[in-house]
Amino acid sequence: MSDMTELDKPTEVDNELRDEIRRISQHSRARRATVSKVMIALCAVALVVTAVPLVLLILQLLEKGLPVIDKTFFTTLPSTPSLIAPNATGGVSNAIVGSIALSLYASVLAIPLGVLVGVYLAETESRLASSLRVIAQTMAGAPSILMGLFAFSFVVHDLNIGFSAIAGSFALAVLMLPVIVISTEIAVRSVPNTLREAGLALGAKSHTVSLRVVLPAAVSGIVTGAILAISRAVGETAPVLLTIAGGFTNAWKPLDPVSAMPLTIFENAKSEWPSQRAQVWGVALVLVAFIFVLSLSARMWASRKQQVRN
Amino acid sequence: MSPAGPFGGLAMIAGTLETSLIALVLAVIVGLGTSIAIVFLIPKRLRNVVATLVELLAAVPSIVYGLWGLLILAPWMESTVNPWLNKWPFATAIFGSPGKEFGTSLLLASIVLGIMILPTFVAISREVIAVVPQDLIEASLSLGATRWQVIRGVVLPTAKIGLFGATFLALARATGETVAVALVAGGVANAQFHLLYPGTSIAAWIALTFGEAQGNEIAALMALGVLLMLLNFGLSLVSRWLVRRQRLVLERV
Repeated sequence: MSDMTELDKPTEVDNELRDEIRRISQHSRARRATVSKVMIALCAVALVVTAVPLVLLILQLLEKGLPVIDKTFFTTLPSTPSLIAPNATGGVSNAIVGSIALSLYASVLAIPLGVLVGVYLAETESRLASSLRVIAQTMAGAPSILMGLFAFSFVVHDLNIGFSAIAGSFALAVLMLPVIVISTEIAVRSVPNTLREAGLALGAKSHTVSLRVVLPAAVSGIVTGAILAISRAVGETAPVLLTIAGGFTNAWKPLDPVSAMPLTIFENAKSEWPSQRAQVWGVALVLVAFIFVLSLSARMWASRKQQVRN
Repeated sequence: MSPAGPFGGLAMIAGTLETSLIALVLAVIVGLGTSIAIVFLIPKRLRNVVATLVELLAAVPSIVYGLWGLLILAPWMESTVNPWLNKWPFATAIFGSPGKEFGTSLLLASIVLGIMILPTFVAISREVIAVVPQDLIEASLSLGATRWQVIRGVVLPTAKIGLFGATFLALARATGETVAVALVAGGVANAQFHLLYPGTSIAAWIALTFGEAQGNEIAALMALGVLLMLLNFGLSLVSRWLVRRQRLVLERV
C-alpha cells in the first residue's frame, strides 16, 4: 500500500513533463487561435475581392451610361458617324423596339407550353415525365449559343424563314422553356395536397383538379419563374446574334429582321467612333436596369405572396 | 469566297479549356472564401441582402461583362498589368514575349470569365455550406475547436460533394460563355499557350465568324457546336449527380 502512494506522488520528472505539456498546449492554443484568425480574415478578404469588381462594374455602368441617355436616345434611329459629324450616333430606338418584340414573341412561344409541361411533370409519375425532367434540367444549363445554332439551322435555314424576329424569339423561347418548366414544377409541387383531395372529393376529374384548382393556387410561383425567364432572355446576345440580322429600322413584325439591345452592344463595342463606344454604355445601362427591375419585382412578388399564404 | 477548308478546332478547344480552367481556379478560391464569409461572418439580417445582391449580379448579362472587360479592363491590362507581369522571371514562357502583349488576351478572358462565374459559384456554395447541420458545428465548437478548425474539419468535409457540384456547374457555365469571351479574348484562332496573346474559345469563335461563314465553314462551326454541347452536357450531368449525392450525405447525418 505504502508503495502505491509512493508511486502516486508526482516525481520531479512528472512535474517537468506536466509543465512541458502545458507549455505545448498553450502554444498550440495560441497557434490555433492565430491560424483561425488569419484564415477567417482571408475569407473576409475574399468577400471584398468578390465585391470590388462587381461594385465597380455597376458604378462605371452608371457613370458612363447616364450621360449618354436623353430623349433622342429612346426615340430616334441610329445613324453612322462620319468625319463631318463624328458625334452623330442617333438613338437606339430600333434596339429597344426589337428587344421588346423579341421577348414578347418568345414569351408567347415559351410560357404556355412551359407551364403545361411543368404541371404535367408535377402531377404525374411516369417514365416520360422523368425523362422530360432530365432534358429540362440539362437544357437549363446549356450554352445559349447552342440555341442560336439550333434556331438558325431549323427556323432560318430549314423552314427557310430567314433572319427574322421569329427566328430570334424561337431561340430565346428554347432558352426560356426549361426555366419555366422547372419553376412551374416546383410551384405546383408546393401546393398542399389537401387542396387536391378537396377537389377530388367533390367529384372533379384529376385533370380538372390540376388545371382549375392546383394551377391557380400555384400561380404566384409560376409568374415569378416566367418573369425570371424573360429577364434572362432579354439580355442574351448569342442566340439573337445568329438569328435576327439586326437593322436600322424600328421593325417589330415577326417576319422582319429586327435589332436588339445586346446585339447593338456587341456590334458597337468595337466601333472605331468614340461616340458610338460611349453610347453603348447607355444601352448596357438600360438593359441592366430593365433586368434588375424584372428580377426584383419577381422576387418581391414571390415573397409577398408567400406572406399572404402564411 | 470563304475558305473551303480544312478546318481545325485545336485553337478553339485549347482556348476554351485554358480560359475556363484559369477562371475556375480564380472563382473557386475567391468564391469559397466569400461563401464562408457570408455564412459565418455576416450578421443574419444582412445575409439575405447580400444573397439577393449576389443573385442580381448573376443576372447581369454576359454582354455587359464583356463590354466592361473590353472598354475598361483591356486598356488597364495593356498599360499596367501586362508590363508588370512581364517583369517577372520566366514570364516569357508563360505569358508570351514582351512587346507582343495586347490589351485583349486569353488572360483577360480568363479574368472576366472568373468574375462572371463567381456569383454562380457563390450562390450554390453558400447554400451548400449554410445547410451543414448546426449540431455538427456546435459539437465541434464544444470540443474546443476554433472557428477555422470547425470550418476546415467539419463544414467543408460535410459540404464537400456539393461544393464539387458547384464547381462543375461553374465550369460548365464558363465553357459555354460566348459574347464576353468574343469581346475580350482578342478573337485570334491561334493554338498557343501564352496567356497574354489573343486567343478564342469554341463559343466565341462561333459567335465571331458565323455571320460571314459559308458552305463548309458553317458545317465546321456546327461541329464545334456539337463538341461544346457534349462537353457542357457531360459537365452538367456530373454536377447534378454530385449535388444529388450531397443531399444523400446530409440525410444520413
